[in-house]
Amino acid sequence: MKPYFAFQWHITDTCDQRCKHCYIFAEDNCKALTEMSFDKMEKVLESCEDMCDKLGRTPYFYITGGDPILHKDFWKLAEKLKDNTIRWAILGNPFHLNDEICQKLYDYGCVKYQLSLDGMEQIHDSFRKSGSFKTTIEKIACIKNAGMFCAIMATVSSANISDFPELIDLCAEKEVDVFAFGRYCPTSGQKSEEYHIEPEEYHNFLDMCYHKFQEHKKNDCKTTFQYKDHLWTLYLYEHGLFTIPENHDPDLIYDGCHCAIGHMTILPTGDVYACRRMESKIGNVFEKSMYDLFVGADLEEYRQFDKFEKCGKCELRGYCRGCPAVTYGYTGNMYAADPQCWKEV
Amino acid sequence: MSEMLNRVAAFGADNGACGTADPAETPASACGSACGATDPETPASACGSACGAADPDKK
Repeated sequence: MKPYFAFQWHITDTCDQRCKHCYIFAEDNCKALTEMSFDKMEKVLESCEDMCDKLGRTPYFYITGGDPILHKDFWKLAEKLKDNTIRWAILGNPFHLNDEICQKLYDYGCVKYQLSLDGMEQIHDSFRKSGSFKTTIEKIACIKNAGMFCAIMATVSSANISDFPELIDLCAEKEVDVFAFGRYCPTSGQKSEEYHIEPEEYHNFLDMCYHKFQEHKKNDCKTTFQYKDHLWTLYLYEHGLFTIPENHDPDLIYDGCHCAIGHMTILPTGDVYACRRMESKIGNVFEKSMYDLFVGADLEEYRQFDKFEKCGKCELRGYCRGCPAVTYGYTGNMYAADPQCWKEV
Repeated sequence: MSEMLNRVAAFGADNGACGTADPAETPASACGSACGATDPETPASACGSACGAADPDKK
């Protein structure tokens, strides 16, 4: 099978939560809620499939919002994805799920439903809304019973870092299929200070997570603990768990941040972003094809691998590069040093 | 193809140049997952054998 290319597709801004750390509603970014019409969604789909054909990729859609299920034509889109035999998943909320909806999602080919947990009940609900934690936990079984994978994604910051040991245990106990976390991307200077984690503290946090993951694996835990944050590569490298292959070419990029390589984001307006976690608009799919956007000059600005200021001096440049979106959130420059990278170069 | 994409092992001509040294679990592959999402359920590394994403239990 041809390798995947991921499209994070926000089909609507409509959502019944206003999470404190959501980039959609941050700093009054989204004053008017937008929804993409079905006709336009068909055009987007066609453009993405055409791009993948030309690049030798298999499209994989992460349908999201807002809450994508709240889109009035969501099920028409699901049917279209099924007809085109496209693999897709949802990044969504738990509130509109029940056994019937989950079964319908599965029948339409949705392979995975990703929920968010930002800590244990008190912290999670303070980020989202009262009752959100309990509903999320309740719907894990609902998703799994329908045959879909249930993924839990968490966003770590200084506000919730101490909840993670308990959160990891909970995800293992509930047998979620995948658990991963990303770092909070600040949307203002004030937030970058408020939610900051010091590099050494982050290293210690990864160490705690690693040992938790191993402990659960020893107990035959079914959960896949995914090393999603690219700073995991640095952690694994320093602990002898990742080795740079002997014959690697230092000029090549083998792994690390996917930005401008393996994923693009489409908003309900048709605006296309290199990465949704930072201000990185590269054009609009209704003005230019996805293929032209992918190979065009605007996206090329996001793969200037020689511009990485700190990573450029690091032997792991081809494998890590931290999270440029987090870096952008702190500095306005995605090529600056990752604020949580503890390595001295 | 752009100059920079040709420097990405998965897109360039020398896909298989680099052997892999997989730990039992590897970092997420460089290709094919959205920034706010866990990886696609099938490993199918876009980086060929180069980046070691053949994680058998990645979902």
